[in-house]
Amino acid sequence: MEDIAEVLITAEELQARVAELGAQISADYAGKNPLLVGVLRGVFVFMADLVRAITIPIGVDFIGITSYDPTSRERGVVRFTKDLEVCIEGRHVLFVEDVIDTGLTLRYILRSLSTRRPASLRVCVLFDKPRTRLFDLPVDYTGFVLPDKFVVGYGLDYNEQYRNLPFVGVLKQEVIARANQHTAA
Amino acid sequence: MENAEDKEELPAHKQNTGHLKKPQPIINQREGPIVFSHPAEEAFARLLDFYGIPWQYEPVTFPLEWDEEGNVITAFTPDFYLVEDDLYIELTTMRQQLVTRKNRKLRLLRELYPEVKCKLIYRRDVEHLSAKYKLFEEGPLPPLQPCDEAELTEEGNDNNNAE
Repeated sequence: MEDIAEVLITAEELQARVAELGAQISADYAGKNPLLVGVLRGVFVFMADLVRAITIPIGVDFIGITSYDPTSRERGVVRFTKDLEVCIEGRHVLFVEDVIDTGLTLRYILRSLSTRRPASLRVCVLFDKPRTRLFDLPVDYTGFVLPDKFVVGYGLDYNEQYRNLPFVGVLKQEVIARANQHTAA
Repeated sequence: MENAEDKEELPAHKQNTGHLKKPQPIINQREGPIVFSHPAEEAFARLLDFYGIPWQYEPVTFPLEWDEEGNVITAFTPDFYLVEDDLYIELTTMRQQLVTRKNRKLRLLRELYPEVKCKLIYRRDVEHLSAKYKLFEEGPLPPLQPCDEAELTEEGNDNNNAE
């Protein structure tokens, strides 16, 4: 908590918005038994709360993808580290994401999922940072629009820390600077 | 028939664009390896490669203003063209308060080539990309290069175009 400069979204605000999203999704997908697909790891907190706010039958699955590593000697390309375990052909798929900013990851995932011919493919994102978006991508459900600040909590991390905070907060600049110094050293 | 007074009331870019005919972009022919003008561009290209996004580097120049003899006096060459997205990307590593010249070019581009999609990524956004993807080992963003400083100087003399 001492690393947080300010609380941007309280735990109560998060729970209220997630409940609204769950109600909306329940209404929109009634009778469709949708499959909610999340990308690990940041989405796990949001997904856990969202599925419990949905009142209709649903399925849940997760995917994992590689992260960009500029220090890697081999110039690889993004790939799945964990694929879906459920066939999505003919299924209504709701892709659930914790945060979207550049859209690079979302673009890749949506293209990949759409080749598997789901009945429909829509996007639910809890935190949207549209300012840094590179591509026009469809987002059907949005929880919060975030300012262009480095935020952590509720699944969002910095160097794999702070995911367990029940709120969303702005990380202090000195924490980032300290981490950068540590990395450089 | 327009008289001299009418012409003077037109914005400068409309006076000199040869506005009776549609302006045509110029396809840049490139031979040999790509030489990026800033490390941020090279890092961005690697990022696009990682996500399997086909790109071309400075493939097209868009004429924006012409003199009375029809010679191009202002043009804009976006850094990247994303083939699948039909989208041009211009990275700017200049300081935020000194990007008015690029903003003006982008505005002209949208007026003259409304079908062209172009996104200007400002320095703070490049820094965001750099921090998010750790594009540079030495820190958030390399210091300004000599070419950037030249742009800054040019920019500093272009205050009339400030938005």
